[in-house]
Amino acid sequence: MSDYAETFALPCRAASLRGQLKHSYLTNTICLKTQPDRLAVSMTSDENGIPRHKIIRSHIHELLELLGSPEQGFSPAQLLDQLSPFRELSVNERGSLKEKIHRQFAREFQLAPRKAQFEKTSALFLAELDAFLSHPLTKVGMEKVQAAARILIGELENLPKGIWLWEAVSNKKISS
Amino acid sequence: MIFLRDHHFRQADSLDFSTSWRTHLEKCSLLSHEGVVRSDILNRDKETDAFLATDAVVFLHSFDGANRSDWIKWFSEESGRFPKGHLVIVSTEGGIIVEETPRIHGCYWRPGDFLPTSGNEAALEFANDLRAGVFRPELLKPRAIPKYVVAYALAIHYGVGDARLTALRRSADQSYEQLHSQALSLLSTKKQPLTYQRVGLPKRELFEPEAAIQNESESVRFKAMRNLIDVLREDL
Repeated sequence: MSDYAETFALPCRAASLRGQLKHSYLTNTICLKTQPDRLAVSMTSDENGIPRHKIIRSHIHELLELLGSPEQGFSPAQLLDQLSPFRELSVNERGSLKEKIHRQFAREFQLAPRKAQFEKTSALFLAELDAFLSHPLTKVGMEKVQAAARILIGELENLPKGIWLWEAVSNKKISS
Repeated sequence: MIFLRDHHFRQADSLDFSTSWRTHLEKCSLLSHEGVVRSDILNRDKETDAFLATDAVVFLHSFDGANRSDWIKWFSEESGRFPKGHLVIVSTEGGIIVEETPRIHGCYWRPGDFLPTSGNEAALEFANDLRAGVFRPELLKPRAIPKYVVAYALAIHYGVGDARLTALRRSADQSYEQLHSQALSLLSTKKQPLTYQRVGLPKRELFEPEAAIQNESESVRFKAMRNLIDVLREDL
């Protein structure tokens, strides 16, 4: 592949988790279920020997952990290892730059309040899910889980779909 | 065309399978008549000749990195048990992650891009030609954001520039035209007025790419590159 045409790779574990949680789990296996018994079956059916509700819980916890990670989260600090122009820097130099970028990212991305909000919303969702699974299955219980899931989906929609670079200029706000 | 997506279509879920994904696909006339949708999990023992003929085009839109790696590895193998067609990685992560090979490609098209009303002329042309038996990978046009442009913009935004900035800027300038033409092409497919206000660039810098990179002001150069990167990453 020529240098001109080379694309930059942006594998981002946090973005993958975000996508899986939003689309594969919260939407497909929870919000689109129409009957309480089917939601229960969906949550207890296993994937590779693990009940699905445990996988969802695990994904949420992993995403919470990764939100502030300079290596696998949304931080552009990881690009210093991925983009070849920066690989020419010494390890020490790159390390200090990564710290600098990550600090600025945390400030501009509003990492702390975002994380706190996601923690709160996901805790509410997991509590509703636990309540649904531990009590007689009811339509009301299912609707509470789905309502909490939709709020969590809203939070996920506010997260980037890949590595965050900077606060993008919103074209919608610019009159043409 | 075959579309692969992680939809957890298995066991008891099949009793209540009504995902927005499937619903969306069924709205796409092209797909409902000629496309196939299935799980993104590769089962090497069960893939059939009919599923993966040499003229098959498989769009993989997976959130699971392991599944994606499985498919890329399988398509990369020269001697497989079955003949293989083309694998197209659909990226929603702000960049394309494949190295192009004769059978592996990248793009950003989602099913909605194949709707007659989508306005994505390249996607519709691709589908029409494929129907006629002609595979045109050049139409896929992945959003390939040049690494030197990203590196330069990052260096400016985060203030990591030093003596190396000059070399970085030179490399970014060489790749700028690629970024510029991709962004303009994308904007023109969206049926929205292409205005310099929309992209947030001074008029001259938008319509004359050389004006942006010849501008002595670092901030103008940076703004041009940053805004076009944002265009290429939006709505992914």
